[in-house]
Amino acid sequence: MKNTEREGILGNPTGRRLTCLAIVLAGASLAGALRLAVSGDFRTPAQEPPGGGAGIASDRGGASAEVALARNAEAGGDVASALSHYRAAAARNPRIVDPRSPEFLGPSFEARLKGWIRGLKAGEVPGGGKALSDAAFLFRRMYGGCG
Amino acid sequence: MSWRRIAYPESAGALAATGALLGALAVGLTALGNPASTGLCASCFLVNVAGALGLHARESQSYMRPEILGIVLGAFFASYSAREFRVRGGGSPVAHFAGGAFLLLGCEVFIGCPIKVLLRTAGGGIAGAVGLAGLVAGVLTATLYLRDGFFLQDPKELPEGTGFVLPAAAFLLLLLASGVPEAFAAWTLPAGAHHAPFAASAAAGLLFGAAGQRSRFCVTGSIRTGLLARDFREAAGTLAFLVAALALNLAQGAFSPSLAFEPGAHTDLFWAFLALAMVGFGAILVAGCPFRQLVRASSGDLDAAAAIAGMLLAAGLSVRWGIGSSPAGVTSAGKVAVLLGCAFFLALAAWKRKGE
Repeated sequence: MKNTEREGILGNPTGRRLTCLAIVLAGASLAGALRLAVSGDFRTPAQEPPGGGAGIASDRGGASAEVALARNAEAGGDVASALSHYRAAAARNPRIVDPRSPEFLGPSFEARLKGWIRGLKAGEVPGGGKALSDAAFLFRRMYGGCG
Repeated sequence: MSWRRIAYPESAGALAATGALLGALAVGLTALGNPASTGLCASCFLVNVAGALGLHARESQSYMRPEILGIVLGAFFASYSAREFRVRGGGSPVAHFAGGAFLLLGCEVFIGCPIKVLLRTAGGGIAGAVGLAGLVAGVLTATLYLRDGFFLQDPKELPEGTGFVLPAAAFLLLLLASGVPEAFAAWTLPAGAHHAPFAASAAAGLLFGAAGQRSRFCVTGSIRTGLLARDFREAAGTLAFLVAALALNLAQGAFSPSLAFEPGAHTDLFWAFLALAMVGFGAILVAGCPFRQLVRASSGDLDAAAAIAGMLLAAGLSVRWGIGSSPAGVTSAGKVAVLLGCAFFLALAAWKRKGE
């Protein structure tokens, strides 16, 4: 698009200062990228924690073990611990909270999760912020996304 | 309303009506089966198409989206019937290709294109609203460069035949997807992506494309025009899209203001803002967000077609390299992609500031 002849609401052109700004910002962006690349925080896709990104491979065995632990905690009435294990399981294999998947934990799990969220928000289910955060992660995983 | 006002919408009212129609259609597709807040998302749908074509192997993000094919065909028919189909290209195909790739990557780090930003905001998503703020900031910055003389080289007129390639490909893919869907990877549930019924998606896609072409609907473009020329007619369309989606969500009880419970989103607000700022900035430089690039390419703009090619390649790489975010958060590769995108667009802006 060519430069407009109209003034608009942004005032006059800002001249060479924009070029300097661009060079500085571009340099800062590149420096940030390089810093990320050489720091210990950088992870290749293979090094991302399970479930860390849209394209990360799943760990079905680890997920099954976490689901078993979650069910034990649930049977013992420890909702906070159950949610923590369910979160770990979903991070390892997102399909367990995907209603389309044969590996989905099932509509009863979905109903229980919604009940726990209501209870945690109302303070009727003990667990605090960590449990609510785990429940929120499972909720976000279960609905939405790009596919 | 006369036929001419529908075919050539120019007034704020007509553009607002078009925006409201598109917003309602998008919410309708979500109600029919598309993922939450994903009634219309060019970047998500391109990722799905890339999966269906085998460019990545994540089944839950693979589906030959009839919406995308419909957008291409709808925009083609609309431009051709209005005698606006004009084949041109060679302006700056490399900048468009690379720019398109970075636009797609930015969208995937945020989880959604500028249209999905509106839908996520209309659903009550706080991260969506933060992304919208980032988008506006990016557009504002790019507009400063436009004011300072930025422009890419003018495209040249080309033989008309080359402009038919994309619509013809979309038509063939639509035929294949409707008749032989197993030709594509992960074409069916439960493995493939959530989706509305095929016919409804295709029909909505045709409408999206035709209405988008006639109204020049573009989220980033409407903000730019408002800032640059005090012309808020296009912004009326964008605002109407948001209001219509919000009203329908409220009516369905689907509006829920939340950060932690926004479906399919992550909660990293900094990267949501920065990713969409990069998308807003870049979309202005290459003259359109992903949806607008699809419409332009279907109207004969081969530079926009180069952007689509870049987006498709990036869509495959986004999944293969773990660039796209998930509800678990933003990956290292995603952060690097956003930073590189910022660097690329800023360098492009500096380089072409006086149209060199």
